[in-house]
Amino acid sequence: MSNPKSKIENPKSKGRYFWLALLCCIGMLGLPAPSMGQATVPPPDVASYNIDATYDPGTYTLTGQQTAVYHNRTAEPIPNLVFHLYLNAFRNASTLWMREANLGLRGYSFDPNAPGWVRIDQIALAGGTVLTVQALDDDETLVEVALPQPVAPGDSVSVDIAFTAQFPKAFARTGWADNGDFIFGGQWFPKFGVWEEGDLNAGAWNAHPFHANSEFYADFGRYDVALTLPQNWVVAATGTGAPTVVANVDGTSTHTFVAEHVIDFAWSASPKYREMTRQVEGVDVRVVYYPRQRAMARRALNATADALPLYNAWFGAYGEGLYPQLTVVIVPPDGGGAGGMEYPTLFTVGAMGGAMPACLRLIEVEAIHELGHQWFQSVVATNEAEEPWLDEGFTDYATVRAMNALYDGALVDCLGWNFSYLAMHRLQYTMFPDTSMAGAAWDFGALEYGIATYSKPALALTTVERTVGETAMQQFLSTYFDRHAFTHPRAEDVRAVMEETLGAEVAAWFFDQLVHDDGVLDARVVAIDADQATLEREGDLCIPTTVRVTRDGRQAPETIAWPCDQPTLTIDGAPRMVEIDPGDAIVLDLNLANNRLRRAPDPATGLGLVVRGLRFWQDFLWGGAVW
Amino acid sequence: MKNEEWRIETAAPTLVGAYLRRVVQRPRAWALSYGVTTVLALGLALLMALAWSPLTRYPAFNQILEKRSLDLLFDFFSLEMGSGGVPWGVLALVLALPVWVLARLIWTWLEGGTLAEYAAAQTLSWRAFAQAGWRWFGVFIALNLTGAVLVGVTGGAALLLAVFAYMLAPALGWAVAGVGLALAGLFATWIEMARAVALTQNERRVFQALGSAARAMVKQALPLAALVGGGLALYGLLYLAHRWLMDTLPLRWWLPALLIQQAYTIARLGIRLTRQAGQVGLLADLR
Repeated sequence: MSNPKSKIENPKSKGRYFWLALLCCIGMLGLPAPSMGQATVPPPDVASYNIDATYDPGTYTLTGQQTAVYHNRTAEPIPNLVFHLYLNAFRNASTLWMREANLGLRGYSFDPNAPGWVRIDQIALAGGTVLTVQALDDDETLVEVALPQPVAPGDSVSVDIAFTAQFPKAFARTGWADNGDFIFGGQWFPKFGVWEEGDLNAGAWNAHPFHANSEFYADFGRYDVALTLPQNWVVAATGTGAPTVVANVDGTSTHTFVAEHVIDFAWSASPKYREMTRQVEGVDVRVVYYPRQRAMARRALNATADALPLYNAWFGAYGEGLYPQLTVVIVPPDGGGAGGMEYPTLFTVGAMGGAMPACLRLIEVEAIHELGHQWFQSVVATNEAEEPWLDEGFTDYATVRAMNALYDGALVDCLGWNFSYLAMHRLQYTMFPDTSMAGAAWDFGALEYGIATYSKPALALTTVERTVGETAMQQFLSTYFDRHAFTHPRAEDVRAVMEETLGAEVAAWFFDQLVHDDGVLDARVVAIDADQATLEREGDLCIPTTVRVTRDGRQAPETIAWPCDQPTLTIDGAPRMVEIDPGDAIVLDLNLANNRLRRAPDPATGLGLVVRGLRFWQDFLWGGAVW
Repeated sequence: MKNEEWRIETAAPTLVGAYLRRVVQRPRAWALSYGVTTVLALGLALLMALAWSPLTRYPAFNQILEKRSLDLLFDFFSLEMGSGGVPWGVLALVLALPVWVLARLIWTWLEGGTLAEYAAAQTLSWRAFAQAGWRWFGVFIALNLTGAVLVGVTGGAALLLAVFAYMLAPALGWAVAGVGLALAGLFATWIEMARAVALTQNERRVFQALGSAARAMVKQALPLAALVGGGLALYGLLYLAHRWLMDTLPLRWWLPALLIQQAYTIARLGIRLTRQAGQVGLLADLR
């Protein structure tokens, strides 16, 4: 268990110190500093795994041997080990996860006849000392292994684990479908929790029983994974190097994958998979799909290829330049439960069903969203369980930006009518606006969770962007990503970057009123008459804004400030039209339609209605007879 | 019926240009079709405009209509705008169905006179035009109902099949939809030809007219396909041009919008009438 490194390193800050040291050295040599997009210094491994597993598609079971190494990069000794056994959440209908999820997730239901579980058959130290496993929750989704002696700071511990897992029928990210011809392996092996330094040197494992809303949290490390499956199966997996395939004499093949500097390892396999590939800005993008889903695969590939350069430019190079490949798994129609999920260097598409018209961009938005997670959570590895808004929120904000850039924002663009992705978030947010973003996954009901972690953060960050401008926002985002790549930032770290790049005032309303509180706002023009206009602000969300006033005659519109501590505003002088927030910056406003009002109906618009209505009614009366 | 002026006297012209000339030189059907429908449509449009006039105080209303954006639709519906006054919009919706039935009946009546006008050697008198309308009114209603059932059943079945096929394979779904659309178009053309057959051959029995029309369609398949296909292509081009122009116009620019929309409407009515004149002409060629 000895570690050749004598220096105690903090995984949260090591990458940053390396960068600073490197920049200093380069600066002293008079060389140009590396620009964003170049490969960064790799993070130190904390949790690494060497797994040799065989999957039997007939029984949906997997038997595995894994050597797991945990490096203590903290200043405190680690007295024990804690492992997640996520699959045990699906072993029956009465687990905590099942009770919270009401036996289903995102429209897909648990099949009690096809449960999932994982069992540690034996665990021993590298020297052979057998260890004892102790469940930390009733469902055994979290177990503790006592160590004969603590892992000293700077040291590491290596354990050999024999385990068996059975996959459920896919309904919650992981499992099999298509009568066993499809398998997606997610959260499938005994996986370390995250040891965190605490105050006063009182460190602890940050690991929770598996909750329904919760996603995951893990340390970076190296994965060497050998998967043995029937020979004709195509396998896709997390990886940062070329996989190798060896045919075995028993009719199976062993696929070996290597993934470095990642927080997880997921894989998928099917004898029916086809694949298409494309290189995008130096990244090999590979899509695996069922033959019938070729059109869907092409759409997902196009969206991924279009969005990848945007994210590279906005946040930093994909995987900080350390991930040369990206895999997209199109799940089959009855495996939709495994769709719409992100893993390092791999994500799945298909949560919302199979084929759909091109004007419904659900495939595109799913691909673009899951791609965004390659930055926010796979590299900036926030705690999805305790602070889910940090990864989902930033990712969905990125998705809104990408949808705006690629499709003029339109999630739906059918028959000449459109509906934007941002508007979909506004619709969801206005259903339940009194929700703070901060909170652990299990603090929220299903609807609240969607609002707190997806919609509200996406709207709040869009409001920030439109308030401070794209350039300042860009500085905030790239600073946040660069500074916290390959670390585990918390909300306070985000706040620090926001204060530094956008100022304390913006950080104050963003964090104090939106992240940690449930501030809402509805600014509206209450009335306009011949003398004055009356404006009113309802709700306690205080974001400064402006009002544009157009008066009679040929005067240019006048813009006036409306401080947010002023609940009402009266504008004198016969305004013809009043517009609150004319730049549409505050998309969190509960009703945007009442932000603008004319004093009187507009005759020209009225005539325009008659004209358009005439054509509509002509068509109606002809009943399509005139073509 | 003493006045038999509407009967065909000579062979109809055989070129599209000649069919178009006949439509232009005998503009009564064109004007009546356009005028009657436009007057009825204008009534409904005015009622709706009255209903929506107060909404024009909200620029969000313009945004929804001009950008064809549903982004602010829910915000807009939740506005507190008060109520009261005459429910013009409701009145328009209530009147829509009876006005539609009335318009369809008028159109069916006009078709008798229209086809007779195109089949005749000379322009008909108003009296003859009206007599032809009454004479074929019942027959054309029966044919139109038959066509509605055929097209409705075919279209509906094709739509269902296409959706199902799309689930299996998008290309198959589009193929099924294409076949369904082509079949619906074929049936619609069949009914049009049956009306022309009925009138030119003085055939009042619906099924005999349909049978004769089918035979005529086979015999004149190529020119008929060129007539229908050419009209369709021209209509497609007109639609795209009209759509492109309309999309650039703000809601407040009502006069250019009116000119463009009505020019488009009149033009596509002319395409339809040219096709009908052509169908009469093709039947005359067979005699």
